[in-house]
Amino acid sequence: MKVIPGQVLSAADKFKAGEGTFEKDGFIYSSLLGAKEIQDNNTIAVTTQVLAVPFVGSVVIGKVSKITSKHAIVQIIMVNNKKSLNYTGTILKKDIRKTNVDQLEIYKCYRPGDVVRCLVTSIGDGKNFVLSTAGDKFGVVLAVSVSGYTMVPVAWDQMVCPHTGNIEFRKCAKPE
Amino acid sequence: MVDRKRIYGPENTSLIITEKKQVSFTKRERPLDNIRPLYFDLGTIPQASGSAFIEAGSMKIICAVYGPKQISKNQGVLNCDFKFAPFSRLERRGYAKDEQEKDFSLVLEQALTPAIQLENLPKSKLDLYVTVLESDGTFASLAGAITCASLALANAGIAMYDLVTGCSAGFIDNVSGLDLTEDEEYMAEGNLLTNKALL
Repeated sequence: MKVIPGQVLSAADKFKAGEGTFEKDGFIYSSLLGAKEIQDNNTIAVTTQVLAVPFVGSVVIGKVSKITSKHAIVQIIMVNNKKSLNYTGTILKKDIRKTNVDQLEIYKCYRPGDVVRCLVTSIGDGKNFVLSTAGDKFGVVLAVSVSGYTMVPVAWDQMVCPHTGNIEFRKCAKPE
Repeated sequence: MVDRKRIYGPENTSLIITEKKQVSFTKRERPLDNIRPLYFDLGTIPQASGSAFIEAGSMKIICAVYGPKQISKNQGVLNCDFKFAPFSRLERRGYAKDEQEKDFSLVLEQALTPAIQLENLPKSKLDLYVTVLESDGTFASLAGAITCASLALANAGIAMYDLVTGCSAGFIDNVSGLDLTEDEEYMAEGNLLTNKALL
């Protein structure tokens, strides 16, 4: 069912307010122009096709656009499995992995063009969101070798090129 | 300095001066508490994130929303830009924004900002552009712009608390009426603009 912003969807004691809705004075209202949905029999949500905005705690997928000795810049392309454009984030050196942070080199973890999965830890003071890849499930999910082939992860910090057999260093994400 | 990129008419031409019609509410076609019939269209501008078009009588307003785009400020920001097209009235308007249009941009921003859930847009800005293509009443245009902008924001998928609607009113000979046209506004002693979100 199509709803408009500010339309009453239900009383607040019957359902929980989900995505695209808000609760006020005992009623659940829609905050988007979209379709009304009931999820898990108790949550009311409004869905529409919009570009997602990153928040603290969101899992984002992005493309590394630039690396320096202190940080890597990531162009965010997905936020919580929803399309997102126009946002960039920074992975600081201390946020790349949990242990042995003082010995790591950024070029042995990420290269420009790598697709990485990260966690938003803060919205940051400067222009970019602050991202972190500390943790097993965060890191490179897709990378292309020097010779141009998609590499296969062989260890948590290594990937191998299937064509040449060359080993390159990456901070890999644990496959789900 | 003459702007060489624009084509002006020959030097010895002059503007057509039309006499303002002297009207009062007695000649009004619709009841005093009625507004002009409305027509809405969403998604008029395909390259914008959201857009809306509104027509009431001969008044035509178009609005486009671009964004959210990343900025360094932590809280969400709404930038509003209100412009009468140079050809919107019988009297030609300038290309640059004049004082009245700057003032109207501010009113538009103040009317819309409380309705948008800007706390859900960290590090983002929204750019909103309203162009009055044909104006029939200055205050009616601003009221229409508020309604049109709120529809464009909804079309862009921006989370809002409610839709915002605007309406203008005026006095002629101590009688009040809603949604004055340009001729009526010329006669009016006072004008009023109100906007409301239902919540």
